[in-house]
Amino acid sequence: MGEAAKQAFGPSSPGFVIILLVMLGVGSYLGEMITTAIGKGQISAMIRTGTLFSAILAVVSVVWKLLTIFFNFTQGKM
Amino acid sequence: MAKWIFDVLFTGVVSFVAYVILIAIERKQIANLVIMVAVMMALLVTMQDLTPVIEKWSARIDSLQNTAENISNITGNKSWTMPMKGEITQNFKSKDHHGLDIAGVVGMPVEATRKGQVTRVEWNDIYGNMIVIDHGNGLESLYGHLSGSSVKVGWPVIAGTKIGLCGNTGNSFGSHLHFEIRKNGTCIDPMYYLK
Repeated sequence: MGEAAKQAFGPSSPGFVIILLVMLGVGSYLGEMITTAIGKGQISAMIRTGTLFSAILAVVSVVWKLLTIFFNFTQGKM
Repeated sequence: MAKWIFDVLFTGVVSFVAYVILIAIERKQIANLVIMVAVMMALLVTMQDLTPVIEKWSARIDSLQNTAENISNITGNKSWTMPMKGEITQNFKSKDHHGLDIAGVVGMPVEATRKGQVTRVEWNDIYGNMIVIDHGNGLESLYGHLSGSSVKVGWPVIAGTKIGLCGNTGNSFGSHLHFEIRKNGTCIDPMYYLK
């Protein structure tokens, strides 16, 4: 189980992006909470937008990686 | 197979947990990205894990097909397809005529009768433009008097592959296909093999 988890969601695997997205979500949520609490609503909105952009970038890079694996696979390179 | 189920389930569970957390903290867009990545990962895992299984079954089916083919080649159970639609105008005669003549108009498609490999595409003074296909186990088929060919030496063919066009070349008096089957170099009656 541990080995499988490491293989699928380890730092250099495509599955790591899922963990990264959760961490981004939680981080931005906490950031938003803090900035809203101290009355900085604009910064809160910026954190939210920035997080979304970061998430999209992370996913695009992983999708690229997955597509490369897929095409290598279909050409019998794996 | 069990590995595939485990991998897909594992990916699904982790993604589901991530999705639930993100929805709970009102990050719906990021949660949707998680689903997208999860689906792609599941597809990739499926491909990687099931390929050895598919290859194993494919090898078994190939082996069965080869066995069936060898048996039908040996017994000649009328499993070969006709090379061209048309009336048989002359049958096999062991001394005078070493194959079948099938009437047809110039340009009608001529098809391979069985799986094999093209070994000859050439001109012959008697057969005109001719094609020979090797079917293994010493069996060959010959297609003569063609007006054109659409295959080259070394090409693999299956039953029904268009290999050339009916014609009137060589020692021929009228458009037709001359079709022979040879076993270890000796002409035999094609009707023994044809459906």
